[in-house]
Amino acid sequence: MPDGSWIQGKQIEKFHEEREKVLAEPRVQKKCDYVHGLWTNESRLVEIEHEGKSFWKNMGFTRNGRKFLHPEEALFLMEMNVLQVWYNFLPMSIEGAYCRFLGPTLTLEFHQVYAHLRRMGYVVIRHRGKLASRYEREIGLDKYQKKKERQLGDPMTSSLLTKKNSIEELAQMEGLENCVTDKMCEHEKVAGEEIVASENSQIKMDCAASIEKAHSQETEIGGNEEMGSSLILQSHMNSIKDSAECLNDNVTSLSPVDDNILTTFKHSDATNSAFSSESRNASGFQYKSSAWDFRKIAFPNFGAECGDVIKIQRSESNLTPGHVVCELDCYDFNRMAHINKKKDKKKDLERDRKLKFSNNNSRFSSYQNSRNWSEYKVCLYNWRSNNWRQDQFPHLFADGLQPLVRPELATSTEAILQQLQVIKSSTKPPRNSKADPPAVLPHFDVYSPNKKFKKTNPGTPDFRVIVMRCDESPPDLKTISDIDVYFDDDVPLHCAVVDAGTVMFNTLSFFTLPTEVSLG
Amino acid sequence: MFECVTYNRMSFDRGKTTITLINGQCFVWNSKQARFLREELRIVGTLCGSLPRAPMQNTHLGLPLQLMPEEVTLLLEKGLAEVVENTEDVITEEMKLEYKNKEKKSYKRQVELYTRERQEEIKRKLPQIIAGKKAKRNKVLDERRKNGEIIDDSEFEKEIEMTVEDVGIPTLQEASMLMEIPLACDPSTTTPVLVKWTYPKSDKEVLRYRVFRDLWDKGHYLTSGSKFGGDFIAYPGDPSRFHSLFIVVCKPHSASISGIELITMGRLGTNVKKTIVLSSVDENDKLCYTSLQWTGIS
Repeated sequence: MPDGSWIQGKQIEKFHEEREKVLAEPRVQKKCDYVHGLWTNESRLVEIEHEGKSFWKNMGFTRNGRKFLHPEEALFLMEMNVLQVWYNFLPMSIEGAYCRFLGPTLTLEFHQVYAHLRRMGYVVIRHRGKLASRYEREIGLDKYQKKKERQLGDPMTSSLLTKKNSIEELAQMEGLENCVTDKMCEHEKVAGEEIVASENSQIKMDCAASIEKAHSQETEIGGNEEMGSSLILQSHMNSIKDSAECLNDNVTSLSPVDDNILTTFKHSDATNSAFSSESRNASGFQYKSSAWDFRKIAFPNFGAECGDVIKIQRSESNLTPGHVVCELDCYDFNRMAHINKKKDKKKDLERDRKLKFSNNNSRFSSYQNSRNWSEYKVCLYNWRSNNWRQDQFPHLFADGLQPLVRPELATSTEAILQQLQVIKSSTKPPRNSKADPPAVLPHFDVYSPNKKFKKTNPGTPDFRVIVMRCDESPPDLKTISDIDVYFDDDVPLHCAVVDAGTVMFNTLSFFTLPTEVSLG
Repeated sequence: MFECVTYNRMSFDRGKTTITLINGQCFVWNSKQARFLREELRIVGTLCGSLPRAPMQNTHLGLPLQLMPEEVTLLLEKGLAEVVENTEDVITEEMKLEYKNKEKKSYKRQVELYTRERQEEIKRKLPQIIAGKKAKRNKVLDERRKNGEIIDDSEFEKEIEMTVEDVGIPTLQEASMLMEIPLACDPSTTTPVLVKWTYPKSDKEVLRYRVFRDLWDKGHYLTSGSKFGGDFIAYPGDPSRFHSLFIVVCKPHSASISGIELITMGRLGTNVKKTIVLSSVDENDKLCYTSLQWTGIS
């Protein structure tokens, strides 16, 4: 294409002239419109006195009543012509900022990815670890930032190089959760309806009431150790992290209870009040133990003892009302498990849409999705009486060698194909709330621009980013899998590869191949 | 109106580009030098800062210009640049005073320019101002007339005498003074110190540099190849006007390439309409290039 012609040369020259002019343009602003910042070498942070017009909502953090900006944020704001950083009573140039800010806590790649995403408009925050477990998100507890975390100081202040430390910090926080959930698990296995105390728990007698509630609720919910854990975590945090004198070797032993205690489900209120009083505890007030002994109050259990336990087969799960997902072959319905779960509108809509337009429904059009359990029982009866049953072909199912497909489970082509799968395709690694933090943590949590964004409680990010250089090898499959299991949410993980100034994003995500159904 | 300051490196007057080494990476902070590198020396580099006039986008970025280590080595070998590191001078009271004086001077100058500009504007708009004042006065007279006062018609026709000086100009507050965030370091407070540049070191780096140098000598424009999965991208002319023709992949001469790798590279090249050039240095220390083309025999 280059033909050495004069006109081409002229065009290129013109291009360069314009480019030089554009690149040389200065960053000018009124003195009063600049935010004044101070750089300190020791803390490697920029301190500001007054927030600017708009950036404080998404950037920066407060520590001890003072406002700070991370170096990459400060550098970005300088390039945006919003912030003027002073050091030694002299204003810093951008080159000077590059020289001073880049270092062990901030690599060039980190800054380039940060600036790239910010220029696109995203809200980018240094990774803060696992903020809420899956259950907390489901019941909506993630909206309430754990008070202790706020008091402890922003997790955002963990610097890059001290990633190890931040992992330790997180591990500490999670470790507490883990050790408690471990105990919860054990106890669950031992006694279904018995409430056994967590031995070695360094919980004061004062906290016994809230713990009892937590215990009882936890067994009620039958299998959701996370809930108890989040409450216990808070109480643990309060009691352990606050002051050493809270560590008491009182073992709270709770005797097994005949009837299950069904407490009113104002647990968030109850625990909040418990914790507010416990936080007062830190400054030395006495916590008044509750006047009621919940072990001796008998509340009826509507769910477990009404004798109307329905066992739903997987094939019949299409008829169930609303949010019941039958993943197991045999599902012992426990109504308690579904109370207080936050309704995920998007997922519900998606599910309803799928049901509406899926082929499955052609079979059940006459039965229709039931709206409640009484309707379901009617549908189930109709369905069972009209369909193939195992006892109609006893000779086939008599020996050890049985057909792969069972007639009653042959509801759709997809179901049959699934039955025919001898080698099960691997699914995502099992979700595990007790997972250890992975060896490599993401560097950024990225959020879409949102008016309701709150720095103190940002919620689940829209995606997370790991920054790496071109010559480094990407995180291996095990690390990616660990990250997925650890965070236990559907947030995609992006890998930002930086090479000599150019940033490229790659998504790393798990997905399962869909079953191809060409007939039926 | 605002006289901005661009610190032009003194070394550039000697004919050498200044490359600043910051945290292991090389940058150029001057637009004139960046243009010279690209226009005259065919060194492209990558812009990695925000553009002052359009900061919230990623398609067109601004200074600093980040250079590949190969580019820096080439410039040093040709004696066209020097690599420096900024060392901080100890800040004395003198320097602080000097800065304050500079600021005051800038403020005074700005006030001057501002007043002058306003005066020119008033001069230009003087007839309109007078007309406006007349209309206002006539309106007032009209009101008075309506209220019953008897006013002569000649009052309406009276001319208003006004000069430029009569129109008041608000003072420029110090807080509204324009300030600049300079791009490059102030040479009065930082001293650049020459540093030793030790690239290339490992075999891989040596090979990369050999290939880069050879292709550059042949007249190509080379940029980083990570966008296309290679080592370099070679353009026949300025990247702004021409598409690249080659994806250069450096391989040691004796390295084995698996079939899968060949297919990957071949396919990649075909999909982006570029030729994969496998480059290596043979036993006689000569560079040899092999181009890869994916053909189908069907």
